[in-house]
Amino acid sequence: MTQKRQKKPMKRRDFIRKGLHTAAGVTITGLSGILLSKSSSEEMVWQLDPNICIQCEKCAVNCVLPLSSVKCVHSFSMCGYCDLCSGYLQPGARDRDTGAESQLCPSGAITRNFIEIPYFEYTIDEKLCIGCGKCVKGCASFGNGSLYLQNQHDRCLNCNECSIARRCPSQAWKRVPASQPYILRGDESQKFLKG
Amino acid sequence: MAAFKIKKDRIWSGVIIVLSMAGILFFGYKAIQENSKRNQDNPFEYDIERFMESDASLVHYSEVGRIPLEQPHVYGLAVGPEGNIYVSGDKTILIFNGEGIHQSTISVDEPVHCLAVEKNRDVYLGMNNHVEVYDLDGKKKAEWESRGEEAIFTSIALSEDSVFVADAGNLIVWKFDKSGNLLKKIGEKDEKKDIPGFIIPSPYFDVAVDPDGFLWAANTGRHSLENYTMDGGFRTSWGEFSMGIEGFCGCCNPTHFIFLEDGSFITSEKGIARIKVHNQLGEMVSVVAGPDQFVEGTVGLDLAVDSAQRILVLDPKQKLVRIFAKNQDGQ
Repeated sequence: MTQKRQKKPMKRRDFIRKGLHTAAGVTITGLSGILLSKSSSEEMVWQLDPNICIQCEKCAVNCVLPLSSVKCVHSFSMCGYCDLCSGYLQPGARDRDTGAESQLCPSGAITRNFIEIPYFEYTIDEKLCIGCGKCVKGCASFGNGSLYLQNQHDRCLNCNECSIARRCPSQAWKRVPASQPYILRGDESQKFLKG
Repeated sequence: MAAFKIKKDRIWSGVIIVLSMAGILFFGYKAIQENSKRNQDNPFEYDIERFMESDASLVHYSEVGRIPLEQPHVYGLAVGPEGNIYVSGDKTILIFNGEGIHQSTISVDEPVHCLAVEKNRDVYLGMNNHVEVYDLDGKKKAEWESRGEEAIFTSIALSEDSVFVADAGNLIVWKFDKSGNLLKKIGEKDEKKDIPGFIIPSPYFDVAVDPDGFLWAANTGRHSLENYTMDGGFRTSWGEFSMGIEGFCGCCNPTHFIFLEDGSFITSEKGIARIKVHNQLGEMVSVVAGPDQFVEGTVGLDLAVDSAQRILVLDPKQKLVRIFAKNQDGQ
């Protein structure tokens, strides 16, 4: 004849004691994990990979900041200094001049300066740039991609879940080490790596 | 009286529920409509759609064949004297017969940006900054001197006794003899000789020798094709900027060109990917392939012409050699 073992009901005091032990264990393990990960890995920040970016213009409107932290960057070493710059001029613009009707940039953030026949230099006014990437698309379509977008870390809040990255259709946003926070093109990338 | 009041309350409750439902449906529909509108309209859209349409009456060619290329990258295209098709890629030259059947492969040490095939079937390969010569068996016959760190070789053309190499880094055309000895630099800016100098904003810079034996080079930044004597004297040029079909679009086109046997030019462009035929005077006469025949982002459409005057197009985006033949009725 087998005798059924009767389970003894847990006393309230035991329940509280065991509960506290479990909570303390979880807390200590969690804290250790966090401290370990902090000490072993470098701080990471968000950056846009220009080689994957498809210039969808969503960076301009999806940042939590009123003015996006994404700005156009210009690689002077790559630029062709074209008179007919497809990043500066509207496609099919009647004139190659600085008239508002000729400019592609919706905020007039690109300055065109004559150097010598037939070369012109283009510079980006970061304060005016809204990061729409319209010029980047023009440069990538017809030129050589010397204009490209980058997340500016003097503005970026480095949100845990970047609202631009979440909506990026090409998944061009990635976490990069804070010590190398930009993905640059042309000679500028080499200068940056050399420090 | 009480029964009437209950009935009245029920009616009012029904009216309120119906109105609430109608309100929810109305505002919900408006919100969805607004949201979808917001998703569709892009105030910053870069719109070149209107330039992508081509007049069907101008298209006088049809695609008659495709050769798939199983390579991660492809750069250059040439047709040999025997009619074989040569394609350069990453450390590989693929050789196909005229029907597109793979014949052989030549392995090399670095990416080959451009190539040309000699009458004796020696293959001249343009690496980044130097030329290598291989025989048909894939054996290296010669490696010429490097033209320095600045050099970016983008095109090779052969004449009876010379080899012309376009260098997009140094903005000149190098003229060598067949042994690799440098003979001349062609196209350097020289106001006294009325040589305008090459403006090459992106690494597409093509050269070719026409059926009369004259050298032509694409001055892409000026949207023109320039004609030089074999000694580097500037003869003439033609070409103009236009987003329309009659000219060359964007900042720097045409990226590639080649000749038909009657001296007509076949040109390819990037930005608005299109291939056209221009007569000897530079007038656009027909379209081989319009933008609708290429996927978005197609650049580097190298060209070749075979003995049947079919136009071969290297499509690096789709990894294909595409073959176009003139329509029977010429229309």
